[in-house]
Amino acid sequence: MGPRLARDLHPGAWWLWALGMAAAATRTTNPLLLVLIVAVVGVVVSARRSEAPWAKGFGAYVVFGLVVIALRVVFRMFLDGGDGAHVLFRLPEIPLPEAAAGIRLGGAVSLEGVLAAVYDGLRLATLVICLGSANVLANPKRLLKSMPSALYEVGSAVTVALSLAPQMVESGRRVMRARRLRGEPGRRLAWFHQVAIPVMADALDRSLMLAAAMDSRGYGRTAGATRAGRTLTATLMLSGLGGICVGTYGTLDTTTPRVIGLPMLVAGVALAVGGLAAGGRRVPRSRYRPDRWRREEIGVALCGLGVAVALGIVASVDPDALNPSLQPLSWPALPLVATVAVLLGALPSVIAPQPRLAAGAST
Amino acid sequence: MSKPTKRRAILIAFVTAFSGVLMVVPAPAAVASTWSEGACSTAEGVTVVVDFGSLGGGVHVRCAPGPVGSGFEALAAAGIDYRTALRSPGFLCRIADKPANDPCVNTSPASAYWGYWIAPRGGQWCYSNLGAASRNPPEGTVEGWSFSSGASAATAPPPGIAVPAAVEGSPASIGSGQCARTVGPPASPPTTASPPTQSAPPAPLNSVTPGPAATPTPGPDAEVAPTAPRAPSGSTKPNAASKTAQPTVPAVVAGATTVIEATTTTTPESANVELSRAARRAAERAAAPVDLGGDTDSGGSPLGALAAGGLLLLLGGVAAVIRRRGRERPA
Amino acid sequence: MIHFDQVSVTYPGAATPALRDVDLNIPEGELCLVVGRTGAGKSTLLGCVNGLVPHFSGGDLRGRVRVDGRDTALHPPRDFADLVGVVGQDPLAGFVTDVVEDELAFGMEQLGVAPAVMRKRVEETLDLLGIAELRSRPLRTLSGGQQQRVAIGAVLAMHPKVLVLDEPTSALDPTAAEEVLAAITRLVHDLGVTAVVAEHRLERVAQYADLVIVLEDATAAAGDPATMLETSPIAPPIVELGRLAGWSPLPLSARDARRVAQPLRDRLAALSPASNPNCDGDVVVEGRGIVVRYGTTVAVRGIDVEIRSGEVVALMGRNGSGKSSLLWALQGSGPRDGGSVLVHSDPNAPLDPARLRPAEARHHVGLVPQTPADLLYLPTVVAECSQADSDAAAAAGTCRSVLDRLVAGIDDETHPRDLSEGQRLALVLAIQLSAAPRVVLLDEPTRGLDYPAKAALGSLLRDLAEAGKSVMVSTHDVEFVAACADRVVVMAEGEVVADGPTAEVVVASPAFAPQVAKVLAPQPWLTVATVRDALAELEP
Repeated sequence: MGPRLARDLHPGAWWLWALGMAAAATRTTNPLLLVLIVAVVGVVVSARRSEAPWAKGFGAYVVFGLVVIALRVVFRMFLDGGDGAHVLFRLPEIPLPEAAAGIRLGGAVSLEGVLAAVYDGLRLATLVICLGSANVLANPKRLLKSMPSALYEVGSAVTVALSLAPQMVESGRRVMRARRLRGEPGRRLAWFHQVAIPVMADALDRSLMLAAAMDSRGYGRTAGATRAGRTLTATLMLSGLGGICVGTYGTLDTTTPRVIGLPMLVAGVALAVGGLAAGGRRVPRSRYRPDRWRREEIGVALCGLGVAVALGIVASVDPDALNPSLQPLSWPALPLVATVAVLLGALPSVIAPQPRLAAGAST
Repeated sequence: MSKPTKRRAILIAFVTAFSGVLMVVPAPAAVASTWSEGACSTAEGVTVVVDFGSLGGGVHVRCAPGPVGSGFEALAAAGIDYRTALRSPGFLCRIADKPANDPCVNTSPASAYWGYWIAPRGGQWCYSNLGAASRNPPEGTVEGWSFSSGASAATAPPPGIAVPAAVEGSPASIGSGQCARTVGPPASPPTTASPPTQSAPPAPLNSVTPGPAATPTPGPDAEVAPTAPRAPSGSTKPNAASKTAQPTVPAVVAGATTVIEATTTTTPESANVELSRAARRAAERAAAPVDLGGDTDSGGSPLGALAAGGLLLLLGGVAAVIRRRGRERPA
Repeated sequence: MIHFDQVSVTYPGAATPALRDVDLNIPEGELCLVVGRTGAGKSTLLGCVNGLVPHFSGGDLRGRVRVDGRDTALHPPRDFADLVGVVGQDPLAGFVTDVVEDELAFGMEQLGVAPAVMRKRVEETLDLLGIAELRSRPLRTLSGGQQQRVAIGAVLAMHPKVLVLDEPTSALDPTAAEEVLAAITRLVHDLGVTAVVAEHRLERVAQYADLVIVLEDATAAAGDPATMLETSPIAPPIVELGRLAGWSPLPLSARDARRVAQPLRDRLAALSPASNPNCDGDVVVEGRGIVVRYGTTVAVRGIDVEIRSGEVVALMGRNGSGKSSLLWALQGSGPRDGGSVLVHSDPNAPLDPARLRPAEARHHVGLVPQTPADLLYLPTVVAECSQADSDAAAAAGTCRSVLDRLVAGIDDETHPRDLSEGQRLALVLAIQLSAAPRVVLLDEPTRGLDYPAKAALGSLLRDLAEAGKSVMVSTHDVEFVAACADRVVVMAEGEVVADGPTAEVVVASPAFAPQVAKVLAPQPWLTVATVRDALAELEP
C-alpha cells in the first residue's frame, strides 16, 4: 500500500480537536502541562499545515500569547505584587484615598505574585494558541460551507464579509494615497471625513454590485417554502437559542435552581437542532464537493475530546496536581495521567493526512 | 530560521528562563517560629483565631509575636499554612490545605469560604471591611478566620469562641471604618447559623501528642447543635463551660488556654436525639489530626520541570521528522 | 429569444424615462451589440433582460420583457439564473468565493444541481474558457483577463441560453480583451448562446456582431451592423473612415476594409499627414534611473524619462508593467526607491517633488489617479469646487470655470457620485488643474469613456499642451493615443521598450496599430481626422 493520498481534512474535525485542547487547558494552571499543550499543538500545526495564504500566521498567535502573559505580569507587579515570602524588589507605593483602601498600587513585588500572574496568563495564552491553531489548520470559509443548510444565508453573509474586509483595507489605502494629491487639505479632524466617505461609498457601491451579481446567479431561492414552515423554523430556532442561553447561565451559576441548569441546556439544544433540521428541509441547494467525515476526521476529533475528558476527570479526582500551589513556593509536578493524556493530543499529526498544498498560492 | 524552528526556539527559551528564575530564587527569610499557643498574654503581638467550622479541625488560637504588616503576615508569624487564590492574590482560599476541594484558582464560592473577622481584645467580632492583605493589624488585637459553610456572605458566622479578654495596654477598639458588621458575643448566636461548639480543644496543632484520639473530643458540627463532648453523660447544659470537664486536655495541648463556650441552638429534645450522631462524627473527625504548620521548606524537586523539558525536545524532534517525511513523499 | 414589447423604464425621482417605447426582438444564437452614448440607457436595457430592472434597481417598467417565454415582471432575477447569465464590468466585485473552482460551482449550488453533474460541468467550463490550470488559484491573484473569463465561466456553468455582458473589456489591456472576446464569439458560434454585449470600444467587437442596437435619446433601433453603424452617432474609426470614403456597404473589419480601400489609398498616395512634433520644448520633468519596489517585486526598473514643455506623452503597456507606479513616483506622492526626479518649473531651481509637502507638490505636478472618485468626499459639485479653490489658494470660481470648459451642463447641486464616468473625471481634472501645475499626469483616464468624451479629453489635453504645460497620459487605447499624443513610451516589466514619436511607435506592431493605420498601411495615416484634413486640402 502506497502513501496516503493528500487531502484536506474536514474543518469541523480540526475545530473539535482544537476546542478539546482548549477545554483541557482551562482545567489546569500547571505551567508544565500548559507548555506541553502548546508544544503538542505546535507539533500538529507544523506537521499538518498547508501552504495556502490563510494558513500563515500561527506565529502571530504565539506572539499574542506571550504579550498576554507579559501584560498580566506587568499589571500584577503594579497593582498587587503579592505577599509572598520571596520578595524580588519593591516599587514605590502610591497611597490611595480611604475610599480605595482595598487597592494597592506599587509596593513589594514577590516571586509568588509574578509566578501567579505567569500561570494565569499562560492559561489564557494556551487558549488563544489552541484557537489560533484551528484557524491555521482549517480554512474558516470551508467551515462556513459545512454549516447546516438552515444557516446557509448567515454563513454566506459571513463569507462575503470576510472577503470584503481586505478590499476595504485596500480601498482605504488607495484613498489615503489620493488625499496627498489634493494636498492633504485642512484640519486634522477632517482627515477621517476625507478618508471614511470615499471608502464607505466605495464599499457601498461594491456591495450593491455584489448583491446584484448574487441575485442574478440565483442566491436566495426559497422555492416551495410555505409560510407555516418558515414560522415553525423560526420559532424553533429562537426558542432553542433562548434555552441554550438560559441553560448555559444556569449551569455556570451555582446559586440558581437546578432545573435552570443542565435540563434547560439540553432542551435548548434539542429545540435548536429541531429548528435546523426543519429549516434545512426546505432548501433546494446542493453542495459542490462537500467535505466528508471519514475515519481520520473522527480520529482527530476524538483525540481532542479525549484530552479534554481526561483532564476533566483528573481535575475532579486530584485537583492539586493540576493546580500547583505557590505557597510554599515549589517546583510544579508533572502528573502522569494528565501528561500522557496531553501527549495523546499530538496524535492528529500522524492520523490526519497531508494537506493539499495549494498550487501557486502566493498573493 | 524557518517558522517551526523559530517557534520551538521561543518555547525552549521560555521554559529555560522560567526554570532559571526559579533556580536563582532568593531563599526566604527564615520564619522565626516564636509563636505560642493561646491568646497573647501581653499587649504585644497579634492573636490569631482559626475556626475550621464544618471542615473539621476545631478552633485554634495562637499568638503571633511582634508587629505584623498584614493579616497574611499574622498567619505566617503564627506558623499557620495558608494558600491564596491564583487569580485573586488577596483572597485566602485554604488554611492548612482545607477545604481540599477548592482548586484555589478563583475566589471560593460564597457558600464555602474563609471569612475574615477582627476584634479588639475583650470586644465583639466584626466582619472586616478590608482584605487580609490590605489591612495592617494593630498589635494587641485579634484576627479571626472562620469557615462559612452553606451560608451566604451576609450570614457567615464569626469564629466560634468569644474574643479573648483584654489585657493591659491592648487597644479598646479598632479604628473606625474597618468593620463591615459587628456580631454580638457568641452567647446569643443566631439560630440559623450555629457556630460550632467546642468543649475541648481538638487535635494537637503540631503533632505533638497522639493523645486526642483517646479523649472524646467532638468535631464541630454546624448542622447539628453539638452538645458537650462528654457524650457519655448525654446531657446538654446550655452555656456550660467545659474547662472543668476535661482536666487532661490542657496538658495534652501544652497548656493552651482556649476559652471555649459550649452553646446550643436547638431544644434539648432534638439535641438529645442528635447527640449520638454528633458523637459519632466527633469521633471520626477527632481521628484526623489537623496540622496547621505543615512543612515550610520551599522546593519540591525540579524533576517535573526537567521531564517537561525533555518532552518538549522530544516533541520538537517528532515534528521535524514528520515534516521531513511529508516532504519526501509527496502524494 | 428576447422580446421587448413597448418597454418604458422610469427610475424613481427621474424627470425623463431612461427607456421609452423600446421594441426589440433578439433571435437565438446571435451576438448582439448595444451601442450608445454614456447615459443613453445601455445598462438599463441590459438590466431589463435579467429582471434586475425593476426588481433590484427600483423604478417603473411598462410594457413586457420576455426571455424564452418567461416574463420578467413575474419572476425576480434569481429565477432567471438558469436562463440568463450576467457579467459586469468589474469581475472582482461579483465574486463570492475565494477560489476559481468554487466560484464556478456557486451558481450551480444555488440551483440545486446534483453533485456529479456539477463536477462535470466545472471541468467542461474550465476547458471551454481555457482556464483549466487556474482551478485552485485564489481569485484575487488572477489578472484582469483571467478574472473576466472566470466570471463568464461562473455564469456559463449554469448553461444559460442568454449571456449579458456589460462592458466586459473596459478594464482590460488589448491582449486580455482579445481573449475575452474570442471566448464570447466561440460561445456564440459553438454553443449557440445568445450574447448581448454593451461596449464603448467598438473597434474589436463590431466585426463579430450579428445585430446592433443603437440607443439614442432613450429609444432603441436594431438592425444589421453595417446599416446601423452607418448612421449611428457612436462609431469606430473604421466606420468613420468608411463614411468619409463613401464605402457601401460599410466594411467592419480591417480585412474587409482593405479590400475596398485601394482607391482611397491611391488618392492619398501623394499626401502625407500633417505632423506637428512638439519636440523642441524645454525639458520640464527629468527622471533618471527611477526604481519602485513593492516588497520583493520591482515595479519600475531604473527608467529614464523626460517630458518636455508643450508635449503630450502617452505611456502604454500591459497591466502590471509599472505605468501607475511610474506616474506616482513622478508626482512625488508614490514610493520611489531609487533614482531621481527633477521638475524644472523654475529653470533655475529644479525641485524634487517627493521632497515637497503634498500641498506644494501639487502646484508643480498634478496627477489624476485611476479611480478619480477617491478624491471626492463632499456632497455637491459646488462644494468640491470651492474646496478645491481654497486648497489651491486660487481665485474663487477657477475650478468651476475649468469644469465648464471640459464638460458643459453639470448642475451645481449634483452629488459627485451621481455623475457619469466622464463627468467625474472632468471634475477631478478641474480640481487638480485649479492648482495650476506645470505638469499634468493622468492615469488611465479613458476607461469607461465613449468616443465623444474621449475626443473631448483629447482636445483638452492638446489645449493644455498648447498652453505650455507638459502632459503624460497612461492608457491602453491606441486610437486615443493616435489622436492626441506626440510621443509614446511603451513599458513592459518595469522597463522602457520603445520611446519615440507616435507615428513610429504606434504602427510598429501591426496587431495593435490604430484601425486607420491597419486599413491604409503602408501609408502612415493614424486617424480619420488627419485623413479628412488631407482630403480637404485636395479639394480646391
